[in-house]
Amino acid sequence: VSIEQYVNERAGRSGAGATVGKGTLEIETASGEQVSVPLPEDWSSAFDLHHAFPGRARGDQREFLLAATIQDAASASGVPEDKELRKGLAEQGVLPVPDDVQRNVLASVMREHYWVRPDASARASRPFAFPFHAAISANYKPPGRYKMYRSDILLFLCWDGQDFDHAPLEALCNLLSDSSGFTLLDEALKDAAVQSRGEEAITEISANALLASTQAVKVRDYLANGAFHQPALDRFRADLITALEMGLPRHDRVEAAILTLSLHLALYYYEVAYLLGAGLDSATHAAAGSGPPPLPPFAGLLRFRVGAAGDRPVRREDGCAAAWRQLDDRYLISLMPNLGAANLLHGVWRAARPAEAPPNADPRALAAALAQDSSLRSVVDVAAGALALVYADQDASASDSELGAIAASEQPGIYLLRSTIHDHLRGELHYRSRAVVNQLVKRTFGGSLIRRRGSVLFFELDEELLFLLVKFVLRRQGDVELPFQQFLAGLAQYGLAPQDRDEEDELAESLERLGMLHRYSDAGEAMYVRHLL
Amino acid sequence: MAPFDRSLDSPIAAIRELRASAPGAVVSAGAMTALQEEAYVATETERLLLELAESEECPDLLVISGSAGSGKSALIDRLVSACEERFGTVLQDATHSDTPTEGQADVLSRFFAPFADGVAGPDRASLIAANIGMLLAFFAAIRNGEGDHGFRTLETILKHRLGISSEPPRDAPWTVAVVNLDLRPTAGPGGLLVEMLGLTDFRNPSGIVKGAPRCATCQVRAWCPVRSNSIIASSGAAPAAIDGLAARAAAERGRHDSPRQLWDFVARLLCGDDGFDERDDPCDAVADAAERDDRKWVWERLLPRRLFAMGGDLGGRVRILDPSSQPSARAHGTLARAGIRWDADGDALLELDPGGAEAIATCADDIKAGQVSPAVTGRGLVATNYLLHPADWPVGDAISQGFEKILEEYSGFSAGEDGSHLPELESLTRLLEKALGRSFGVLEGDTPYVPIKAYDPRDPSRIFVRASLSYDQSNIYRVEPDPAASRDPEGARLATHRPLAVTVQLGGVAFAINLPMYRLLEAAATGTVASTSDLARFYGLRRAVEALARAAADQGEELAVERPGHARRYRVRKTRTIGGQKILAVEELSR
Repeated sequence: VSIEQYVNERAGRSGAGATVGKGTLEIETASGEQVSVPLPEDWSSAFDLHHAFPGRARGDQREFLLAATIQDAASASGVPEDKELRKGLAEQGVLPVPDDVQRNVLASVMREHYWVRPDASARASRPFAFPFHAAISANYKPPGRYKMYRSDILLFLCWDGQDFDHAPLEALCNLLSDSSGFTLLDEALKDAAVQSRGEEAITEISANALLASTQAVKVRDYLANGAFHQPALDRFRADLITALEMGLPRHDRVEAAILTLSLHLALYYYEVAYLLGAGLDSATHAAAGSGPPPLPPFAGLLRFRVGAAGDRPVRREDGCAAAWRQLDDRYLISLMPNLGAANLLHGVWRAARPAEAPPNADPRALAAALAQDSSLRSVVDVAAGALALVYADQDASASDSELGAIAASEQPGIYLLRSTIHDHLRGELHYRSRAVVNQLVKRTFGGSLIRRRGSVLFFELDEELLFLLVKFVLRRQGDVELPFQQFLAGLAQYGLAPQDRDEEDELAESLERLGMLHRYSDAGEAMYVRHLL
Repeated sequence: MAPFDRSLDSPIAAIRELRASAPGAVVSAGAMTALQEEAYVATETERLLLELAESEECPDLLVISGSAGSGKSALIDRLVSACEERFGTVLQDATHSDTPTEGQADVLSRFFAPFADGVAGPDRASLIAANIGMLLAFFAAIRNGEGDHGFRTLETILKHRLGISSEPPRDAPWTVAVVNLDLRPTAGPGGLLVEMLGLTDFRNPSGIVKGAPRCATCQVRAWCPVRSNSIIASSGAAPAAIDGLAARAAAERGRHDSPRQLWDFVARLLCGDDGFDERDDPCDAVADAAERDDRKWVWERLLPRRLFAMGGDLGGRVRILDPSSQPSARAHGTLARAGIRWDADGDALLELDPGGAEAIATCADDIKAGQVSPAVTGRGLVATNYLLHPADWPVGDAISQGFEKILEEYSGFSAGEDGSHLPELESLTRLLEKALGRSFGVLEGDTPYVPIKAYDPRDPSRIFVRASLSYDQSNIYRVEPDPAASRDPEGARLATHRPLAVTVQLGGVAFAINLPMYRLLEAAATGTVASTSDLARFYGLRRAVEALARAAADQGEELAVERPGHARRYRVRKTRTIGGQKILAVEELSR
């Protein structure tokens, strides 16, 4: 049985007709509306939603985000791996010491202090240099083949709706190029990195160079019609400046920048995954004529427990574990299929209603349009079912029985499309979703939001993130101090909320122990959150 | 038939009413009960406020603030009755609600109307008693989005004076005095407790029990621990002894106890930590004990037995100050001698009776008869001796005594006294250096080196920087004057404030060293590993140490490094070769 027959059989179930042409899918609904839907030339491009994600990132060390940004800003290419610098420290003339004994002592200390050993895994266990200055990362790249974002993600997150916001980019580049706040050994390492690269050595980076880079051209093009979720980008820009302006020592500010980028990017993944998934759920309902159900806001969905109070047991029923299952196990892991479905459905919408469909895919808007337009519902339902078949057919693993089952299915078209993509990507779902987020915020040290205890995965906010979030929320509200309840409302804007009332108390106590909450009376309303710095 | 005249009031019942859980514990301004009137203790704060109110300097707005039970309502009552004509508007009832309802916010808005932005102030002074939470909630309630709520000047002034905001106070055309009763010392010099004990003396005809007329008819006074306790606690050196305990207990938590907490403590002290709730007439419990010939019951409630074994918040903190738990020859001698000569033990207890504390004799007889264990007798005799001769018994341990000296010097430093010779604060600095070195870094001899934080905390840092907290490096470390007195000297004066913590600035992070923190530092300096909760309290310090390390390193301080895989440390410093070339010198420190 050919794909044309399956497609026609599927369309015929609703009295419509469909044929697969050369690069197009031709639809004729029961009411006679004819639509020619273009098919992707390269099906992998169907999983790019450039105004939501500027690249096809996979999981990698979060510190490399900064290192890659430095390299883009420095236009560095073909630089050696930082293991060369590590090894070279013990060579004569690299460190300014008079003899071999002293050189060996310093080299061994610096190798331990400045190189970070990632969590051991088969793929990434080689130590890498902490990018505390541009001279390190611009002249030496991290080990291995880098898989996550380059500077595109920083530029993307710095989009203000019209153009790149220069302020956070400049603040970051200035910090990474500035040589003040160095210890004797910081200086020795920087000098070693510069000296050993000779005339090719790069000592500083600038925001202007970053803004003129190919990455900037690419991201500007992607965002020409707006970002998928601008509020998240607005939060990031403000918070990055807050982090960089904190009264912290130089190294800690670099660390704060990495944490800010990691936290925001992880929360962004969750939020976009949720908006896409819930938006497609909504579109599925709307396409069935039942009207789109209200989309609950993301605020407060990421229920966490506090990790600053020592180790505690966790149960699967706990809010922090249930929230992980909802956001990660349901929406985040389905990010790829939902990206694909959103793109393909948007293609149908644009083909059917070129004047009404927005330039960028957004299932929330599609759901609203479907609720208003019954003939569009028919087009989308027929086209989605046909696209499910065409998508399955282009995969060599598809069987006749699978295609037959799709064609005979009673399920609505959008549902079929999502589930078909999901089934075909089953083995690689996590690469571009969970693996990225886990690398960003599932850590055994400094700045972790996701934890595993036994078989239970859950959200747990550690001290480092709490330290940053208190500063972010206070700065956002423009206050030096904030009533505890208002602080919680501020956290909710990030999607974060204590898992229950007891956890609110636990959070207050943890903040108090950490010196960031003051009680002015025994009554709850007089608890004020204030930052240490 | 009862061995006392039931038609007369039970004095024990009156004492029982002083407990924090009693219905009459909460004072309502303008509606104080007879007991509350009788229990009121005038303080220096009241005198200063009356003086201020009657002077030409009387502020346009007088705010009496503080936590629940701090005495706001009682104080405002006194002020109003003493000089009502000075105040145009008085708001006495803004104290008890936790959250202002819409109506309460309106009431407060009306009250504060003369102090709104751009308003010149009232014709006559305004007086308000409000807990801090209520004031904060008021400003939060009237905040309307990003807009100005019209009381920004007042808000900045009150928040600044109360130490809630670092935003500078705006200039106002009117004057304000803010008295935060939480800052008022309630025990120790100028405190309330000594007078409270006098008011509860059963012999005091103008006291709370009006001389306890029922006791004159009572046939079983020798079985009444409450009467005897009231006499012991208010006689001789005992009031000062008990006051000293309460003052030290406040220092132990770094916060003064409220009058309500003190009354609760007094009630527990006199009742032997017994609620006397089982009989409608609490005196019946005494009669029952007499009928049973139950001397143990009396002893278990007698002050020397119960003083260091009480419950309640303050009682619990006094418990740890028990001199019999401190390592002293005097305590050891008393404990060791107890139970060897029972007659001598009983006689030692009898010394506590200033006359009229008849239950002491009852218990002394029991001791003489060998009916009380030597250990319990020994501890009771230590307490007895402490109540009789408090000056001979240092309260608390050596650490708290050392901290008291530091606070004393710090008060003078904060008041602007000559700062050229500050041995106690200097010793605190040295302790801090040592504790930081031990807790976070390494000590090489007496020189502390603090770690330069490695990015990955799983690997201990191997690079340390010498961190000397000398006074001239003001950007790294300095002792700050007491913040309460600095931000509002007049408010601190009116509240007769004495600091319970030393505020220091370390690497740009300000934190308070109170007695619990001082204990941690002492423990850390001797190498004791802190518990998890202690470590959380160290969080601010840890952040400060990180900043300190960077700041010190930034100034070119020499480093100490630890070679991985070796137990060897090296000093790294800048130097020059004979040819003038800048190099690093790496010298072994220790093995």
